[in-house]
Amino acid sequence: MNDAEFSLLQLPGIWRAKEGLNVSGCTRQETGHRELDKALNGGFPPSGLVRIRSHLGIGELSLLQSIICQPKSQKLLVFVAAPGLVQAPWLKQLGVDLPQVYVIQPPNDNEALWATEQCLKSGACRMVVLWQTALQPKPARRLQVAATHNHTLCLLMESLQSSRLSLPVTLDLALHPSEQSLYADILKQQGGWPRENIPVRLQHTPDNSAIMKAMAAASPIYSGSSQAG
Amino acid sequence: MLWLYLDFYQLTLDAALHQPLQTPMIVYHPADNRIMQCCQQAQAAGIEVGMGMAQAASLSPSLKVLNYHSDMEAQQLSAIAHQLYQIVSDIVLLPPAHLAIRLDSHLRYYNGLTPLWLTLKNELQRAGRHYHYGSGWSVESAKVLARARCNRLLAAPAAIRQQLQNTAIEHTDLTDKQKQALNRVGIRNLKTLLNLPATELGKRFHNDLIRYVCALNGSKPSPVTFFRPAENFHRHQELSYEADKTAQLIPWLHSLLNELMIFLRLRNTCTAHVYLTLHFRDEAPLKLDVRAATAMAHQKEWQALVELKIEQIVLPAPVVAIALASGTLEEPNGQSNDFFEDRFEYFNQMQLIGRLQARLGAERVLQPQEQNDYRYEPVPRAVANNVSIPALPGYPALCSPIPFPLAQPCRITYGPLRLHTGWWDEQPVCRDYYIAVTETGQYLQIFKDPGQGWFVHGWYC
Amino acid sequence: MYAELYCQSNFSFLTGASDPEELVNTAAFLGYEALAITDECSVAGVVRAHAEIRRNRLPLKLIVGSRLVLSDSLTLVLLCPHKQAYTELCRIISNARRRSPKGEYTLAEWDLKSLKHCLALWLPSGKQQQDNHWGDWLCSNFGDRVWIGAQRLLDGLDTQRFEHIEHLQTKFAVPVCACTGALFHHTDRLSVQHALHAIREHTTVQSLGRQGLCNAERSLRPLRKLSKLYPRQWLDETRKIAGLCSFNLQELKYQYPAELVPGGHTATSYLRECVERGIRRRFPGGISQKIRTIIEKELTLIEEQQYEYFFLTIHDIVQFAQQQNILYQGRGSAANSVVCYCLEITAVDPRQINVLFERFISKERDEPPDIDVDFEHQRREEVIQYIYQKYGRERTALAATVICFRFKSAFREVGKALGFAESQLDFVIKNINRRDRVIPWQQQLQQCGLATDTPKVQQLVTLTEAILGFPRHLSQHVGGFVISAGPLYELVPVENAAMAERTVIQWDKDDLESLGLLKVDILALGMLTAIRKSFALINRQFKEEVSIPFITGLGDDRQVFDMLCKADTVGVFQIESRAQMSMLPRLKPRKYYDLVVQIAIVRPGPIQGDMVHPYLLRRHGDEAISYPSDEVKNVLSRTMGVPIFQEQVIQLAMVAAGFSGGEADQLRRAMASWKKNGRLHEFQDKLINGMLERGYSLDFSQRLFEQIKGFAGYGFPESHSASFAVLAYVSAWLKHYFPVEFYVGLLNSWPMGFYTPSQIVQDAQRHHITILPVCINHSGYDHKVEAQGHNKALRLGFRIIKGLSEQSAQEIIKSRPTNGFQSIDEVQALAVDAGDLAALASANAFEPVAGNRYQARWQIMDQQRNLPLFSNSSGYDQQTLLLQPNEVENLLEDYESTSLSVQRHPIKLLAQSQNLSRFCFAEQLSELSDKSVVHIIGCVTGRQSPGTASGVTFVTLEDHTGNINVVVWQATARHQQQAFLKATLLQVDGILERSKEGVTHVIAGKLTDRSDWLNTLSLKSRDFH
Repeated sequence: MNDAEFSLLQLPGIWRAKEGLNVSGCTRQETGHRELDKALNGGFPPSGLVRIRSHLGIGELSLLQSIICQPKSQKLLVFVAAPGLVQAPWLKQLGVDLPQVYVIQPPNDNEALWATEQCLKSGACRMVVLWQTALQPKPARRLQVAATHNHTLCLLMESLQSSRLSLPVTLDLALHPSEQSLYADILKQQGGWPRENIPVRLQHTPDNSAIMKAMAAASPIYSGSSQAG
Repeated sequence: MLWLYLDFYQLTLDAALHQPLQTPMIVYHPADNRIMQCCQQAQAAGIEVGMGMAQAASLSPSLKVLNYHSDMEAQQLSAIAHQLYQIVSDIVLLPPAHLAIRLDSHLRYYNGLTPLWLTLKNELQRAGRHYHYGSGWSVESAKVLARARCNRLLAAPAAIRQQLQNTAIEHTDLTDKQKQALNRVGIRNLKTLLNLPATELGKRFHNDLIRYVCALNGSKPSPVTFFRPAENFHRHQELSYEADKTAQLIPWLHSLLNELMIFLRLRNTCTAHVYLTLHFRDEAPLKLDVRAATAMAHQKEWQALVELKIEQIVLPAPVVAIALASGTLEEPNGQSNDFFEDRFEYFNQMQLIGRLQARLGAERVLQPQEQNDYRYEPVPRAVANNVSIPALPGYPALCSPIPFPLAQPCRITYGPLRLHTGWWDEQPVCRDYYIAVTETGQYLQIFKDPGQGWFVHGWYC
Repeated sequence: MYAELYCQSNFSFLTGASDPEELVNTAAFLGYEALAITDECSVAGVVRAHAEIRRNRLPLKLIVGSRLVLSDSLTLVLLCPHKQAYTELCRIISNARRRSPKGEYTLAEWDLKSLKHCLALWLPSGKQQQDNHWGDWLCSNFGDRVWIGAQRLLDGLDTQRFEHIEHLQTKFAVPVCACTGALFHHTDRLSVQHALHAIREHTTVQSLGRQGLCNAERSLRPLRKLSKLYPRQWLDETRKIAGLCSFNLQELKYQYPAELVPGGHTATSYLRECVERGIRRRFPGGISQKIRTIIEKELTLIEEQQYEYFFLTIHDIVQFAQQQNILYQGRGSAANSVVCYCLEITAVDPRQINVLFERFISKERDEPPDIDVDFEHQRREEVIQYIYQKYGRERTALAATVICFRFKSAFREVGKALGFAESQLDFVIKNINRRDRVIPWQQQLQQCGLATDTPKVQQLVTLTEAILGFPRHLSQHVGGFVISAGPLYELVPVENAAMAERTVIQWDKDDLESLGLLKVDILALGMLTAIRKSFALINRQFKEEVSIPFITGLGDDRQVFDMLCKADTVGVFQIESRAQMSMLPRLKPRKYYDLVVQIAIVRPGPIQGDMVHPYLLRRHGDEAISYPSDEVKNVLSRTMGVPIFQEQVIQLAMVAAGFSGGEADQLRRAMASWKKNGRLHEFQDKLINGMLERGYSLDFSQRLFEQIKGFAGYGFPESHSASFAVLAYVSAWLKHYFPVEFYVGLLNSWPMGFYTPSQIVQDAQRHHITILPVCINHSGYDHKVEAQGHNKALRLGFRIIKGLSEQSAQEIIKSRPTNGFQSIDEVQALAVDAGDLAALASANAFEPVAGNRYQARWQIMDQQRNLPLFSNSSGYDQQTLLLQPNEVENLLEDYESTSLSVQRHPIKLLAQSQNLSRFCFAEQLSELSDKSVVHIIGCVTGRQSPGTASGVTFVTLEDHTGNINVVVWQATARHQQQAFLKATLLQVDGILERSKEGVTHVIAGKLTDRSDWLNTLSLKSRDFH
């Protein structure tokens, strides 16, 4: 049966979804988390608009540490409209070279979009991270075209509170934490099937375990860590 | 040759004294703790130039002190030179506060010394400048008489020689060591010094002293460089019709920027700074300064930037005239027209940042800085960030500009990190910082203020 | 319960922020079992902690230790369980300190290896690889004597520390103990510690940033909090370690140098032999039975207290001084004894001053004997090198003095640390009057332009107050030597002093006293040099050997005391100052003991306790001598019931206020050394109630306490005053009988005393002694006596010329032909550099061979003459320079080159150019009646505002006839500030005031600045000291 199939492939009109993956010619960017990379056929797309829906502060950026800091590239890394002040020591601990980082705090959403578009079109940035809720499909389309055309990766961080609109993005992710680890749902990806509940092991904050261990070992009567809040 | 030497002994004071005031005022040089200039009231209270600050303050408690800045005085001096340049062309600028003017070459235009001297005097009077002056056959001799405050315009060589002879030695430009040596041998004034044969002096002193004495005697003039005013591009353009929308200004801007490009092209320079002034019929003129990330000359580049700048301007009234002036001119360094890939990269980045700053304003486009302090919020007068010591572990990704009270229940996973610092400025901090995780799995940076309860300060994204 | 094993006091200079006393008190209050004081490579603070625990009987064990850093990867805290460990610790601290310059130390791995007894607390560096290496090293070298020190500082690094410690504990099976590394005793000392740290890094507190502490956890913390922070096991480990430590500083005993006692003798038998030898020499005619019983009493007392070695050491040093013909004098309470006179320690015949005997050594006060020996200040170094050479650098060193933050340094350093501009700080310091008792310095800041309400300035004030009195660095005591039998570092660590060839122990004299260790004071005294030089000049002319015992042997000379009563005492030891001169005519000393009182009475103690006036009244019989009780009578009988001396005040405290011996000793210690005077106020109510109970008047007891406060810092014991009185009498005797030799001796030992050479020379001229100027053909390097006809003149020597090196002067003297130089060329031909020749010319030394000084100097400037090519061109065309200095120029050149002039006084010169008829001069003042208006003029040679005079400044005006004392009230000074501050030549119109004893002052009314009359007279006045 395979010979018919074989002949079908040669017809120029036929296009297989998977081929879209390597039409841009460069390899995927590995995130360092095995299951997630397998599910994403090797990792993050090199360019284009990627939406990540999650609550604020669950490790959504630490998860992409290997993508965020790429020491060999000279291009800029720009954060637009972050919900707080981006902390230089955190960037340094992540491994990012500070002189390549710019933080833009536009007065409103439209200016944020304009700024993001300028960064993408300038070809001077390797990655732009934009925080925006309820982005409409039309501006999303413009960002997607600008990102892919200029080989730049644009991350759109969207809060879970806002309802999900389907947007023309290369990759649509959602993150939700559970007891021990983080779970990622691939809602839509170019050239791949959506997948649910991909486990991601992430420890992006220090903890008191060593102290608790020493205290517990010394005297069992010692109670657990103090409750707060 | 006839030289006039002007010693402006209180340039800073003159600049500050335009409105009459009662309190005694002095100019004080903090580096070597010396009073440089003091006004009339200060001298009446017994304060003299050269005194220390402690003595001056003890003599008159209500003292107004200005700090001495040599570059500010140099600016004042060049302003005077520009002003006098309209009257006499041969001016020699001698920073920090001296001018030498060659008079004999202008006698023919003013037909006589006194008319020339009077015009000069009035010009300085109008500008409110105080000075001592002296005249002589060489710059050095005029300088000695000016420092000896003879304040008389002498033209005849005999009168000049007579005046020179009874001026004391310390007014001359001899080094202190030479002055001391001469004093210890009883030579106090120029009379004996000038009569001494050159051979005897040659046996005892260095030959630059001999050269100086000859210059004083007028036998050998020393070379001088004359003053040339600096140039800057400045064009004023009256609009043929009043423009009430900024879009209408574009064509005029286009022509002005073109002229700017030609002006820069002629001098093979470029500039990083351009001032656009919009004049209105009755409103005060609106001054916009457009700053480029690197020095540029090309009209097209400036056009884009200026247009971006004026797009958001709301015109208070119809514009009647616009003026364009350039900032300081710079040599075109190699990088502006270099086409290598990463060079293109840098240039490309600079252009992007320039465009973002032009549109959003410079204060909204930042580069994160690491500050040498334990506190998480930006600290007043933060010190340079040459921080070799790594920050404490557990640094949040984002920090809220103002900490807000903790509303949701959460469980502490890390801490306490106790901060008790900043007592030396207006933001003292005494907090215990923790990392806590909420039910929705969000990692927050929270802190407990002694007494006021829990606050959220940052997120661990 | 818990024991803190790692805690640094402020003797870790610019690191610790609390005194050792504060630390031990807080530790005891918090209920700690033990506290280890572990300063940075030093045990300087442990003695004060030990003394504080003993004084307050605190239930706390003191552990002696030290923090040592080998490299950035190994830091250890060493603790001493027992004496051998302490000796080891002292040894390695001494080695580490001696290897590097003052204030630093370099530890060698070998040092730590040699430790066999010390316990070690290892503070891991956190670097995995190095810690593994050092872990092995420590286990092999320390075995079971090493612990891991775990710190919980809540600075975010605790988790990493605990993980690292857990890993090391499992890898090396080394027990872990909790420790804090406390730098202060209470959390609100954090800002002080930050300031000190900023001062150490020469930066501001703000730019210290993340180098400084992030919180105040490194303090002594309550037990409840510690139990929450540390595992129970680690806390118990500290108690186990504390249990191992039993060393107490009291165990340190003082072994004396053994080689002093020759073979076959015990210390006592050798001492008796020396005393017998002394008796034969001191009392050629044999001694009376009374003196013999006193000697026996003293010797038995010395044997009981085992102080024989102490006296033998001093005896040995004194013998050496005698052989080298170095004049010396012993003083101090133990010095007033016959034994000392026989051992030739003191030079005063005890029959003269028999009243002081029972003050010798009193058993019940248990006070270590205190003997200071003064030597000529130019030859003291020889004595010090002798001691070093005899006992070896290992067994002798100088005691330390702890240099603390005084107001000026504290204010300036704290100001810089808080970011104030340096010129502003200097300006404020210059304008703050620390002696103004009306407005304290904190309020004076307002007038100096500091906005005292802003938080920054308030911080400056609080931090300055906190840092006042903190130790800054160790310096060498002026003369206190510690000499021991064995190597000194077994007793106390030794480190380098700033001066080369000098070593200092880490304890000061108070520490030594509190441990009962003895020190020998080797001090320098300028007057001894002057007296010895005068003796040398005199003995060359007369066969009779003039010496101190010879002069004191002649008894009280009436003529000498007449001279003293006339206050003609310029140059006389101790009683030449302005204040003394105005007191002499009032006290009218007639015998030796009056001199003892005279020296002690013009001091802050008696003045503040206003005991001066009553004493004078009683002395001249205007007031009956009464004693509140008979115990007081035998204390104050010598001073007619008025307490003058420090000992009397202490004895009164014991007798009248019921103080015990120990309390009296603490009172003396608090008075003697500069401490925050809070310490004195503790005794205030105790003393006053004690005296009220025993029926003394409240007024008397309050005056007594005021006197005690006056003594703080200037305690002047009677024994020292007695020894000084001897020298005062000898110098007065010399000034009366051998004036020229006296002045020559004085000038040759300058700098010393109260007056400048110019004033001494003028005093000599007023005593009709001709002063011959410096001359190339006659002057030696030193001043000398020259016969001039039948009387003696004073020839100034080359040493007076500024800028002339001694070596060139000696060269000139050596190659001076018999009949002297004929021309400058001969001198120029010598290998003397041009600078020295120019100095000689300006001092007019070439006057006999060349024209005037300008001529000489002009010729010397001609370098070409001594170029080989021109050397043969003889002759010199004189006529090129015909300048002739006039009288004023001569005077100026004299002052410029030799800072004195033998020609006429500036005022005399002035009399020619200006008519000074309306002014009256110093000598004419005596004719004017009291309260008459007077106009005087003179050069200002001194401005003085002593602390005791409230706001008054004494200005000394000098004219060609003498000195005039002008009293300027604060109001007149402030009102005519310009003339008061700036004038060098001052005219004063005021009122003459003469006390009934004849002391004349002029109360200043109008001050006029006449400096322009004598435009460039460069006469420096000695201001405000």
